[in-house]
Amino acid sequence: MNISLRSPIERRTFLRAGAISLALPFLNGMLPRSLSAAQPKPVSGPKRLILVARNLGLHAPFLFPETPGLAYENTRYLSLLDEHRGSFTLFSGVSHIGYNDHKSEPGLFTGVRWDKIKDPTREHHNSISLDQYVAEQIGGATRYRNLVIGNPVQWHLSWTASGVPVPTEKRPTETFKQLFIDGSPTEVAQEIQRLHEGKSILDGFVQESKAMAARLGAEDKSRIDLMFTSIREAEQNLHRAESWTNSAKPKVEYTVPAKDPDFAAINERETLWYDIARLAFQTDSTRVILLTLGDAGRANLEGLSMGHHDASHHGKDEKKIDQLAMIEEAELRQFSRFLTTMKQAQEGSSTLFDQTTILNASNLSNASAHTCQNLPILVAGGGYKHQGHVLHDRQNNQPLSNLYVRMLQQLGIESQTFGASTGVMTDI
Amino acid sequence: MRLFPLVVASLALQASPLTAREVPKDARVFLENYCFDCHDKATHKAGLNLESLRFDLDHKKTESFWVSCFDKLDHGQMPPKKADQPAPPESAKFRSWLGKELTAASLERQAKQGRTPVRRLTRFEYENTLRDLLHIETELKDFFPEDTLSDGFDKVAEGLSFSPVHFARYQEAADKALRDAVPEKPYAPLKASMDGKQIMKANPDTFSKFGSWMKDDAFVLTSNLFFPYTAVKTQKVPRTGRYRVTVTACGLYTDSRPFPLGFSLLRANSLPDAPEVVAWRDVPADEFGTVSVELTIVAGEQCVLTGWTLPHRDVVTGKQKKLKITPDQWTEPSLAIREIAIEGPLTDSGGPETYPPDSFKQIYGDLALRPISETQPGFSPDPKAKPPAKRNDAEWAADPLVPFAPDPNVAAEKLVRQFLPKAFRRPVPEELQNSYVDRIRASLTAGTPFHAAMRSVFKTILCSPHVVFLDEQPGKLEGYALATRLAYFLWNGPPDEALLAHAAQGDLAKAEVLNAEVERLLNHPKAARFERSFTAQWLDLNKINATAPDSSLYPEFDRILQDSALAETEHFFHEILAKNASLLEFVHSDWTFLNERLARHYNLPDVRGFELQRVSLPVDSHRGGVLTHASVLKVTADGAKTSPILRGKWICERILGITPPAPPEDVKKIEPDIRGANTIRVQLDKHRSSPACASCHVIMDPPGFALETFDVIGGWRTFYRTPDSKAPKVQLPQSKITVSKGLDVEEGYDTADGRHFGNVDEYKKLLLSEPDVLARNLATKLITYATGAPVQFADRPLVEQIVKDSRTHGFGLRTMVHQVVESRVFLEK
Repeated sequence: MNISLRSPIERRTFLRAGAISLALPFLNGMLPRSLSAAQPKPVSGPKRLILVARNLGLHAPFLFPETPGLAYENTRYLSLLDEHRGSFTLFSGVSHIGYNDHKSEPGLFTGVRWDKIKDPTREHHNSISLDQYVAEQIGGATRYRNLVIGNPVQWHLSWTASGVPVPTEKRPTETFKQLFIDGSPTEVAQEIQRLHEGKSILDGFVQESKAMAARLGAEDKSRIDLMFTSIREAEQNLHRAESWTNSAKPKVEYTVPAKDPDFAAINERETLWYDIARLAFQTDSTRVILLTLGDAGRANLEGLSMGHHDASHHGKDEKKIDQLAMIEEAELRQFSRFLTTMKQAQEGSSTLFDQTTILNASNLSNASAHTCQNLPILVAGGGYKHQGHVLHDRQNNQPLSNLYVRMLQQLGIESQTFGASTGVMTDI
Repeated sequence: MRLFPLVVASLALQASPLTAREVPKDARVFLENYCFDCHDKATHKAGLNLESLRFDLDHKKTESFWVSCFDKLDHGQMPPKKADQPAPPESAKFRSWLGKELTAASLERQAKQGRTPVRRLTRFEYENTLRDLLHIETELKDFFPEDTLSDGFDKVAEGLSFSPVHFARYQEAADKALRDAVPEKPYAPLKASMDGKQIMKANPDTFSKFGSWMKDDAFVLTSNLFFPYTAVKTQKVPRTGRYRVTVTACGLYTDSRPFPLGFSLLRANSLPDAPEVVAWRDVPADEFGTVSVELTIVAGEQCVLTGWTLPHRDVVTGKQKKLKITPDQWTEPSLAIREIAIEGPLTDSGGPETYPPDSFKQIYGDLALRPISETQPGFSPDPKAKPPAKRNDAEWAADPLVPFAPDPNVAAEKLVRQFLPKAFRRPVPEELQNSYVDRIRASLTAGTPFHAAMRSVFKTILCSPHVVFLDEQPGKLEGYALATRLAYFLWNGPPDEALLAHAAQGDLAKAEVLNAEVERLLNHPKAARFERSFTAQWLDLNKINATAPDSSLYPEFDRILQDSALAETEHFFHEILAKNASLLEFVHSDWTFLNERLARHYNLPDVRGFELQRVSLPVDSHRGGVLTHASVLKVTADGAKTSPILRGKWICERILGITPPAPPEDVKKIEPDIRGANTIRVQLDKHRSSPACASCHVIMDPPGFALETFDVIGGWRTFYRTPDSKAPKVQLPQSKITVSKGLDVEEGYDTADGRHFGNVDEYKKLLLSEPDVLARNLATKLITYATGAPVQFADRPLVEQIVKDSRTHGFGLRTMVHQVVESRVFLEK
C-alpha cells in the first residue's frame, strides 16, 4: 500500500482534479511548508469535526496521569502521544451522568441515555447525535454533508433528529470510491437522470404510504411519520447530489488496497480509515466525520492471543491486561499518526489539525466492570487552548455533554445546550 | 395506611390521552404488604417504584414493568426469600387478577394496532423479491446496510428502521435489477464442453510445468488446481444466471478414496491461488464418474475447479524433478479429467433458458429486442447495415439492445397494468394503476424513449411502499396479506402465482388449504432460504467468519473444516424439518452429517469424501445435537479462547429461551478481581462472589461449563492448548500435528438449581428431561421469525398450547411449523 505521508500535496494532485472540483481558496497544500508557515495565523476558514469512537474503553491506570495541566507526568499510554503534548487535552472525571453499561454506546454522542427516553412505539429511539447536529449546521457547503464510516458497532452511534439510526459504511474502499473516483461521462449522465427520477420516486412513495397508513393503527401511523423524516432527508441528499454531479471529484495521490482489509488487520484498517478521513477533509469533500474503530475480535498483532472483548474483560488479570494494552497501544499509535498527518496538512495559512476538532472517545471507561464513569475523553486540534490534562472530580463527574456544548461553540455554532448538558465546559 | 396513587391524571408528556386502569382494593393491599417495603417511592430498589408506577397498560413500557412483576411473582423470585411471603391462595389471586388485566390489555392492543407493527422488507427479502419477480439472479442485498437484529431476528419490525440511506439504496438496487433483466446484446445460451485434450491445449506450458500430462484421453493433474496457474476453467458465461457445471473425472492413486473436487467462482476481483469453494463433489476413485453442480455465475465470470487435497505445485514439481519421475511412474494422488461442461442459464425447472430470457419477458412480454439505433423515431432500415449478430462487444455497448414497441403508449400501459399486481402481491385499485400509467404517458409525451420511460416507471414500482412494506391491516389477515406472510416466512421471498390464486379464491385460511400450501412451500427448493436464514439467525451461524482461529494454537484448522461445519448444521436442520423429526434432536441425536474432514476433526470413524453424509454416531462420541456441532462451538468462541460465560449465555438464549436478567441498576458496580485464579472455574467462582455479577452468572455460567470440553474450533479436548513453547507437546489424534499442552480441562458443573452434571452428555440429559422448555423456546423463535414480532403477554397461552400439542405429536419440527402457521398470531396482523 502506498501511503503518502508527505504533506505538501503534489501539484499534479490538484491539476488532475479539474477546474471546478475544489473549493481551493483555503487549501494551501501546494505551498512548501516553510512558506505557508510564514503566513499569519488564520482567524477564519472552515471548521471541521471528527468524532472517533471506540467501544471498549481505555485501561484507566495506563491512561490517566495524576497531575493536571500541561506538565502532567507521562503515563504508559500518554507517552505514545508525547510528541503532541500541548496540542490535545485529556479529560479526567468526565462522563455521561447516569450511564451504567454496554448500552451506553448509542448515547455516546447524543448525550441522552436512550433507555430513559425510549418511546414505546420506537424501540430504538434516541435523539440527535453530535455529528448529525453539527452536519445540519455546517455541512451545507461540501459534496457530502457528513460521513459515518468505520467498523460496524453493536448499537448505532449516529442518530438523526427524529431518532433514526444512520448506518455505518464499513468498507474503506467503497468510501474512497465515493469520495474520489469519478464515473464515466455516461455514468455521470445516468447519475443525473437517476437523481431526477429519485425525487419523483420519493414523491410517489410518500403519497402511497400516506394512503397505506390511513388503514393502520395509531402506533403504525407514528412509525410511518418517523419514516417521512428520513424521506425528507433523502430528498435533501438528492438535491445536494444533483448540485454536485457536474463537478469532478477531487483526485488524490493515494492507493487503496483492492480488497478491504479484514477486521483483524487492525493497523492496516485504522491507517486506511484515518487516511481517508484526512483526505476527505483535505479535499473539503466533507466537514463532519464519525469514525468508529475497534473490533471485539482478535487483531492480528504479533503476540496477541485473545480477542479485544475478552482482554477488556480482564478481571484484573495481569496477563489479560497486558494483552489489552497491546491492542490499545496499537490504536493509540494509529491515533498519534493521524494527528501527525493532520498537522502536516496545510489549509490556507493554518493546518487541517488546527481547523479540525478531533474527539477520541469511548462509551465505556472500564469494560471489565462495565462502568461508564471517568470516560477516556481526548480532544485534539481545533484551535482550542489545550491544557494537557484537565482533572475533574473522579467521584462526581462533569457531564460530557458540557464538553459537547464547548465543541459546538468552537465550531461556530451558537448553542447553549446539547444532550444532557448543564452548562458549558470552559477548560479549553 | 398509605394512599395509593395508582390512578393519576395523564401527563401532558404522553402522546395520546391514556386512561389508567382501576386497581381493585385486594390487589392494592397485596402490593402494599409484599412489595412496597423495597419498591416504594423512598426505596425504589432495582429502580422500580411501584408506588408511583401507574397501572397504565396501554403504555408499552409501563406494561412491560407489570409483566416483569407478574413473572417475578410467578417464578417465585419475588418477594425475596427473606421477606414476608404471601399465603399461596393470596398470591394466586393476585396473579390471576394481574394476569387477566395484562392479557386483556395485550389483546386490546393487538386488536387495535395489530401485534406486528408495520414493517419493511429485510435486505434479504428485498433481494429475493426482485429476483423472483424478474427471474434474475442478481445480488442486491449488499446495496443495503445490515439490518438490526431485534429479539434475535432481522425480520422483527422494531429493528427495521428506515434511514435516509435506505431510500437511495432501494432505487440503486431496483435500477441494477432492471438493467440485469434486459440483455445488452444478443447471446446464445451457453452449452459447451472441453475434453482432456482441449483442457491441456488451453494452457500447455503452465500445465506441463506444474505436473500435468495426458493419459489416454484424460487430462491428469498432480498439483492442486489453482487459478491462475493450474486452473481448469469453464467458459465465461454470457449472462448472470444459474448454470450447471458437469465434470467427468476419476481419482488416481487415492487409496480407493473418492477425490474431493471443489467448484469455485472466478470473479473479476479474485485473488490468485485460492478462490472460495462454493460446492464440493466427490469424484470416484479408479473409475470415471460424472458429477455436476448448479451455480449462480455472474455475466463474464466463470467456474474454476479446485483440488484442495492435491499438494502445492511447487512441492509436486520439486519432487518430480528431483526424482526424475516420468508420468507413467507417478503413483501419488492425482486427478484425471475427461470432460468439463457447462450449460445455462437455466430456468427454475432446471431446463435451458431460451433467448430472450425470462427476465425480459417478465417486464416486456413478447416485445422484440432491437439495437437502440433502430428504435429511434423515423428510423428506416439501412440495407447495408451490419447484421447485428456480427458486432463485437464494444459495438454492442455503444448501441445496446432495447425493447422495441411499435406503439409505445399502448404497450407501456398494458405492461404496467400487467406488472403492478405481481409486484404489489395483490390486485391494484384502478386509481393507483392509473397513477403509474399517467407517469409513463407523461414521460413518453415528454420525448423519453420507450425503454428509458419503462425502466424509470418500473423502478418506481419496485421502490413503492407496496413492494417495500408488508401491507397488513389490524385484525385477521385477508388472503393476499396471508399469502404474503406465508411466502416471506417459508421462502424468505414473495408469494408465487399459486399462492396468490388461493388469495384470490379466498380459501387460503381454510385449514386444509393452508396445510397443503405449507407443505408445497416447504417442499420447494426456495424453502432452503428459510432453512438457511432461520438456522443462521437462531444459532448465530452468521458469525462463522467473525473470528479466525489462532493458527499457532489451532494449526489443524482450515477453510474446508469451517465450510463442512456450517454444512453439517444446515443439513442437520434440513433433515429434522424434512423428516418431521423431534426438535429434541437439536439437543441430542444419535446421528449427524459428516464428511471425511469433519469425521477426522471429531475423531470419529472414517467417512469417505467431502460430500456430507448422514452417519450414526457411536455411543461414546460426545456428539449429536447442535450444541456439539463445530459450527456452534466456533461461533461461541473467539478464535483463541472459549468462555463459559459466552457459551452459557448462548445456550440460555438460543436453546432454553432465557434472557439472563441485566444487573440491577442500583447495585454498585464492583470490578471483578480474578487475580490468583488459575483455572476458568476458579476465575468464574471469584467473579460470582460479587452479588452484582452473580445475579446473571449463576444462570449463565453452568451451561457454558458443559461445553468446556470443546475447543474454539469444536474439537474435543481434555486439556487447554497454550502458546507457551516450553509446554509439553501432544500429538493430535488422526494427525501428525502436535500442540502444546496447558492445564487440564475439568469436566462437569452444577446447574443454577443445584443439579450436577459430570460432562456434556449428562448436561444434555438434564436438558432433555425438560422437553417443554426446548419446545417452548423453538415455538417462540419460530413465531418471532414468522410474524416479525416477539411473543406478547396475550400470546402466552397460545404458545403453551403449541407446546402441548407438539408433545402429543412427538415434538415434530415440521408439525410445529404447521402449528405456528395455523395459530392466531400468524393469521392476524
